[in-house]
Amino acid sequence: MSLFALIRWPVLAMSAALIFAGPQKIAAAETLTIAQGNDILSLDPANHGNNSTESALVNIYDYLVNKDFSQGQLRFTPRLALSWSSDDNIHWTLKLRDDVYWHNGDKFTAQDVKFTIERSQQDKKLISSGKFRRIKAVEAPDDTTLRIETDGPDTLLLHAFVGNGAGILPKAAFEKAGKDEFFKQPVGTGPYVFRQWVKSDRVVLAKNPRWWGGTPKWDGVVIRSIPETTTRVAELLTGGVDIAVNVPPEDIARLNDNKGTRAITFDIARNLALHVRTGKDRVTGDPRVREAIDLAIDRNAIVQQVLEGHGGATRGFFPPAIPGFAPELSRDIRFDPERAKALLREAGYSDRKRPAIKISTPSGRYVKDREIVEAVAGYLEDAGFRAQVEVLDWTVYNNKVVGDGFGELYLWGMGSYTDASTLFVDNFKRHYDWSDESFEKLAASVRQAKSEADRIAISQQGQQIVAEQRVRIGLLFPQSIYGVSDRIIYTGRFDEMIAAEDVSRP
Amino acid sequence: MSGRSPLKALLQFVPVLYIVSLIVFVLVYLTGDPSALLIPEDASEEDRLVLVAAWGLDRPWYVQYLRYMGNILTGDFGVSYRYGTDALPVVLERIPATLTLTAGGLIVAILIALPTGIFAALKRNSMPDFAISAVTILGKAMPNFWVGIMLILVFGVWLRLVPVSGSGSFAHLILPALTLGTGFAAELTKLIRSSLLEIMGQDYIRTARAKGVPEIFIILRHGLRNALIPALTMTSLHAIALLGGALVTETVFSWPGLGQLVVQAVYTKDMAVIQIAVFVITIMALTINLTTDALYRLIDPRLRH
Repeated sequence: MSLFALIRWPVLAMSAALIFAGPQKIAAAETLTIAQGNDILSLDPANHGNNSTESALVNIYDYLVNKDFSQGQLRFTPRLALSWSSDDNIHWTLKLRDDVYWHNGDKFTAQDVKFTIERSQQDKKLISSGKFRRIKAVEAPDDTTLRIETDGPDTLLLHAFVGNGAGILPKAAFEKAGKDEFFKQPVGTGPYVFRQWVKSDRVVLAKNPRWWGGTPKWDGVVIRSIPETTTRVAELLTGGVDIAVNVPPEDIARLNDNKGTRAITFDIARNLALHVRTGKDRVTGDPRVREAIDLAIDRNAIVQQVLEGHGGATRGFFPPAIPGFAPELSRDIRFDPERAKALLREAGYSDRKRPAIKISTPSGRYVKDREIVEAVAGYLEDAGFRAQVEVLDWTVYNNKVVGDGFGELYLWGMGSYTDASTLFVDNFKRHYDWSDESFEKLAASVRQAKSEADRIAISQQGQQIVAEQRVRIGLLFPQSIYGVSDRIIYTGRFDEMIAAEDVSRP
Repeated sequence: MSGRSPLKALLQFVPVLYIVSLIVFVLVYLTGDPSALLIPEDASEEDRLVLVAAWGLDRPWYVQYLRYMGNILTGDFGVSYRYGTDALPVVLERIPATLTLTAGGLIVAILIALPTGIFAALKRNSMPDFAISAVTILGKAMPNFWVGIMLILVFGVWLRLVPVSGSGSFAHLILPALTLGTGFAAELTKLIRSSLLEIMGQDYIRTARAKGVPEIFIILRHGLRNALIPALTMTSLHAIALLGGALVTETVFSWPGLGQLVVQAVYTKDMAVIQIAVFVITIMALTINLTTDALYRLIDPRLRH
C-alpha cells in the first residue's frame, strides 16, 4: 500500500472542490472590499430580518426614500420617489423618477412599487410580511405616480419605505422567473449589480453602468463574511479588506498605529437597557428597589471603563437622531449610591437581608454586553444587593425573552429603529408584568397620531413613564467601531448600512 | 466491521436515518420556534405571531411531525427558515468546501505523522524520540483556535505569505489545513510510533532480520503495513468528525464549510437544514466506514476471507 494510494482520492476531491468553489474575480484596485461579521441570509429584501444582510442589499436594490441621519436628525430625502404628499396622512401621492432602469434593462415604473408592497402583504411567510401592514390600498395610475391609502392617519408611512423589507423589486422580471429563480440572479435598480454569492464567504457585485444616480464609484464591491474579529482585523491590517465592521475598543490603538489603517467610531441606532420584571413576587415588584437599581449604577464610569469612552450614558431608550428622542433622560443621569442604600433600607432590607437580583446577559451579541452587566452587578453589590450574573447563549437568551423566563433583570439592546414610537410595540404587561393606565392610553393613541409633532410628544411621554417607573432602566448608547483602510474615505452611518456609494477614494 | 458487506451496511442505515430524523425533530421542537430569532428587531409581537402561523409552527406537535416525516419520505426536506429557500441546496453547496478542508487537514496530518512516527520508533528512547514526544504533546495541547490565530498572525500578517482568510484558491487552504492537520498529526505520530514498536517486536520481524532483509525494507514492507491498521482506524474516525464540520477552524478562517452552517442552523432552530445536514453527515460517515473497510482488506489480506 503506497502513500500515494492513500492520499490519491483526497487530493482529487480537494482539487475538484477548489475548482467548483472558485469565486469570481474583480480587479482588486477598483474593488471595495467590506468585511462583515455575518454572511447575508438571503437576496430577498423582504425575507431576512437581518442588518448585515440589509447592509449588502442596499447596494443592489433601492428604497423609495433615503433615511438620512447625516445632519444628526432623521430626514427623508428622495430616492426612487422624488416627492410625496398627503393632506390627511391617510391618502398619499408619491411621484417617482422616470429615468430609472432595472439591471436587466427594463424601465422602472409605479407598477413595480405596487407589486413590491402587495407581494409582502400577501405572502405571510415572508419575514418582513408585516412591513406594509398599514397600507390599505395602493394604485399606480401612471408610470410615475403612486397613490396609497392607509388604514388611518399614519405619520410613519415613510418609515415603512426604508430598512428591512423596503427594497423595491421588479414586477415583470420577478413574475417571469418565479421567486426561486429570480433570487438566484436578482435584479434591482441600485448602483451595483449582483454577480455571485458564495455562501458563508462573499457576495460579489459589479458596477451598474446605467445607474440613475450617475457612475458608481467602484468597479466592484465584495462583501465578505468573517465572523472571527481577530481575523477581520488581520485582513484589514494586511490590505485584504477596506472596511472591517465591529472592532473591539481594545484594537483601536493597534489600528491607528498601523501604517495604512485607522479606526473610526460613530453613533448608531441602538441603546442598551436593563429590562425589569416587576411582578409582585419579585424584589423588583417594589418601586423603591427598582429606583435603588437605577441610582446605584454609575453609567458614565461604565462608558469610560468598559467601552473606553465610545458611547454615551443615558437613562433613555432612543438616541438623539431618532424622532421622539427624550433629551431629559440623557441629561438627568443620576448616580447616588447612598440614596440607593437608603431606599433599600426603606424597603425593609439590610446588610443581613440583602435583596437577591439575577441579571441575565448574552455574551458577544452587543458590544461588551457581558462586561457591562458584570460592572452593573458590581455597582448593585456595592449598594447592598446580592447580584447574580447569568450569561447565556444567544439562542437560549432569545427563547427566554419570548417565554419570559428571566429573573429580575436582563440586558436588552434594542436597535435598527427609525422612530421612538417603537417603544409601544413591546408588550409590557406580558414581558414585565407591568401596566399603567396613562401609558396604555398613549400606546392606543400613537398609531392614530394626527401629526409628526403629536406622535413625537406621545413617544416622549411614554419614555418618561417607563423610565420613571423603572420598567426599563436605560444604560447607554454604544458607538460602533470599524477599522478602515487609508485607501478609502468613510465615516460610518448611523443605521450601520454600508452603501458603497458612501465610500470614496482620497 | 471488516466482515460486513456494503449492501448490508447500506440496509442497516435506513433505521439509523429514521432514528436520527426523530431525534432531530424532538430536540428542535423542544427548543421552541425560531421566529423570535429571525424577525427584524423592530417587528411587533403581532408580526411574529403571523409568521408563526404562516410557517405552521402553531400547530400541535403531531401535526408538525407528520408533515415533517411526510416531506422527508417524498424527498422534500422543506424550506430553510433562515435562508427562506429550499434547504437541500443550502446544505449541499457546503460539501465541496468541507471535503476540501477535511482532505487538506488529513493530508497535512499524514505527511507530518508518517515520517515522524517512523523516525521516533526507529530512534526509540533517544533524544530525538523524546523531542518528538514533547512536540506531539504540545501539538495536542494547543487549541485549534489559538493555533489558527497564531498562523494568521505569523504567515498572514507578518510574513504575508498566504491569504489570512476566505476560500477559493489553494493558497486559502494552507492555513486552515495546517491548523486542522497539526493537531491530528500529534495524535497520529504517537499512534504510528507505538504500533510500529509493537509490530517490530513480533517473531516474523525477527525472522526477516535473521534472513538479512535490510532494516528499512523490514519497516516499510512488514512493519508499517501492519502498523497502519490502527492508524487507519484513527484517521477514519477523525475524518468523520471533520466532515461533521470543523467549526472552530472554519470560523477563524471564514471557511464556508458545513460546521458553520450547522451551528448557525442549530442557533436559529432551522429544522430543515439541521435535518439534511445530519443526513448528509451520516451518509458521509457511512461512506468513510465502507472505504475504511475496503482499505483494511487491501492492507491486510487475511481480512479478505
